[in-house]
Amino acid sequence: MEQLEEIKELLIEGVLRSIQDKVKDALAEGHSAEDILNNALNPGMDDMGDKMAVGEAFIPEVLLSAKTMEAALEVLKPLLGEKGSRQTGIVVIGTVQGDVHNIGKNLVVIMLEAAGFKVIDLGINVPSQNFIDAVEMEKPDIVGMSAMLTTTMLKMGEVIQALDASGLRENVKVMVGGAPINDIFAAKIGADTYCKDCVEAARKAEEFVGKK
Amino acid sequence: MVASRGEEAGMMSRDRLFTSLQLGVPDRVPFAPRAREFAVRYAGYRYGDILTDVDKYVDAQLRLVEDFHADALWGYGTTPHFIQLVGGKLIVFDDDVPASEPAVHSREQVALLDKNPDFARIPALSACLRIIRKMKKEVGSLVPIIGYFPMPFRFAAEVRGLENLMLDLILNPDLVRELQEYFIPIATRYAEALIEAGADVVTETNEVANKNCISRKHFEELVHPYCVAQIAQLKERGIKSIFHLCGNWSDRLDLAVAEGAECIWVDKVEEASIVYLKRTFGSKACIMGDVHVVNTLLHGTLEEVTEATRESVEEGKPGGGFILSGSCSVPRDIPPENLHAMDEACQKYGRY
Repeated sequence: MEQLEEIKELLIEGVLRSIQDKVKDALAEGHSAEDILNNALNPGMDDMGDKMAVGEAFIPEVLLSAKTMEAALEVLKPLLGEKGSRQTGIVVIGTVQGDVHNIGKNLVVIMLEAAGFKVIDLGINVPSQNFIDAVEMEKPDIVGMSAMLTTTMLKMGEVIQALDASGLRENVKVMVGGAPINDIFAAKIGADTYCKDCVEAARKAEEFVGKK
Repeated sequence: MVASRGEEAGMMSRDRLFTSLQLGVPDRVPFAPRAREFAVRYAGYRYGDILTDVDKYVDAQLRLVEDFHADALWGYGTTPHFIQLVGGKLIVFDDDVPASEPAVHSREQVALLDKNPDFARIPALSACLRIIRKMKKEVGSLVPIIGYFPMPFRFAAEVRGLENLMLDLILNPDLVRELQEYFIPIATRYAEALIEAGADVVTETNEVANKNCISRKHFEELVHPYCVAQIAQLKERGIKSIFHLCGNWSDRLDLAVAEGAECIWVDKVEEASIVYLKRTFGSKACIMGDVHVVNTLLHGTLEEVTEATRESVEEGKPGGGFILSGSCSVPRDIPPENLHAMDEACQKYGRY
């Protein structure tokens, strides 16, 4: 257990250079990849989320922990296989058309993956139709949209209207976020919820799929 | 030449704005919404056309004065335009504000950047300066013109890419320092060029340095000193500035005000109300704000806009040193009637 705690601490501190060695050591001493993922890495990202929620960590610290997690997963992924990839749910996410900001959306992806979601990241500058196509193909539980500009935020409403028009709206929950977005705007465009940051996004996503 | 509202009411718009910037009491609260994208849409143009036809932007801004009695013209230009300083690519959309791709990847690259760029040879910045010149020709000294450039950290975020810069704060702080050191003298020279072209005031933003993004510790160590240096250089040259605190700055307002801008333009943040700001910092800086641009200007009714404007004006007006604006840039898609309502409420409640 001590080794798992050390891995968790390395993740929280964002010690990129030694995380892979520590993960390999843990494997060599008999910890399974699932054990390391579920009892060190995911709890570490949860802790980072808690720190962000109370103002003890900010974007740089969370990003660095996420990079550290990615490095650890490089070692674990070949060992995890299907059985190790617990799937909380499926999320289709993207930054809406006309907007190329990705940091907020990327942080949400990181936190959702840490929470066990399969995330289909459509990237930036995503046309409404691409969201619809992805929902039809991937059958997600949740659609997440990000916008950083007051000029592009209205595209979120267009995507929701397109989901309605395609008869897909009732199949998914819609989460929105980004600098100019708030609860009032989310309600006006018919989103299910607004998320103020990546931590809240992951927690609300878990609530939507009934995990919490 | 356009007429400003001041000709009917007493002070000219430029005098009105400057009186407030100098913490004085004008004839009425100046009305200075930054409405770049809205103005272009309202005038029937597309934003993507501006770089190739600067007259459209000038025309759009003049309509703000004529139709909405704005007390200031806002220059063209956002932070992505500055990507061309480092040879990066500006992405122009048909009808959205431009964007850019990260263009600086190492400290070695920073060392090789041109320290003395010729703005006339940088298309986006050259267009911004041409717009200011044309505006000046139209309004003379009646209506003030506000030019734009980013704070050094905001520039660094644009050219590095925000995600990279956020990691640099921890992994590569020297790169963060060197990018800002590179930009400060260039920004100062650009600010001088804006003034020479006809701008009366400059405005800066630093929206990636608020408490939504980075810790106060990182702000103090790696952002604040460069803002102080930037504004000090402007002051040495007699250039007045409006510093827009986009997002939540409530845990670092003291530092932001200490950076020395003549005016602090605040977002609508509960912990940083106009009343609080006036009481705490009103003797040091003019306060500007703060009608919510999304909840109120975009989605509000006429009555809600009038009420929100009345509140902002009545909070900020006492003793002068206040400018009425939105909490951020006016969204492109607001109903024009809402901006009319804001103007009318300013006329009604803003008189001294």
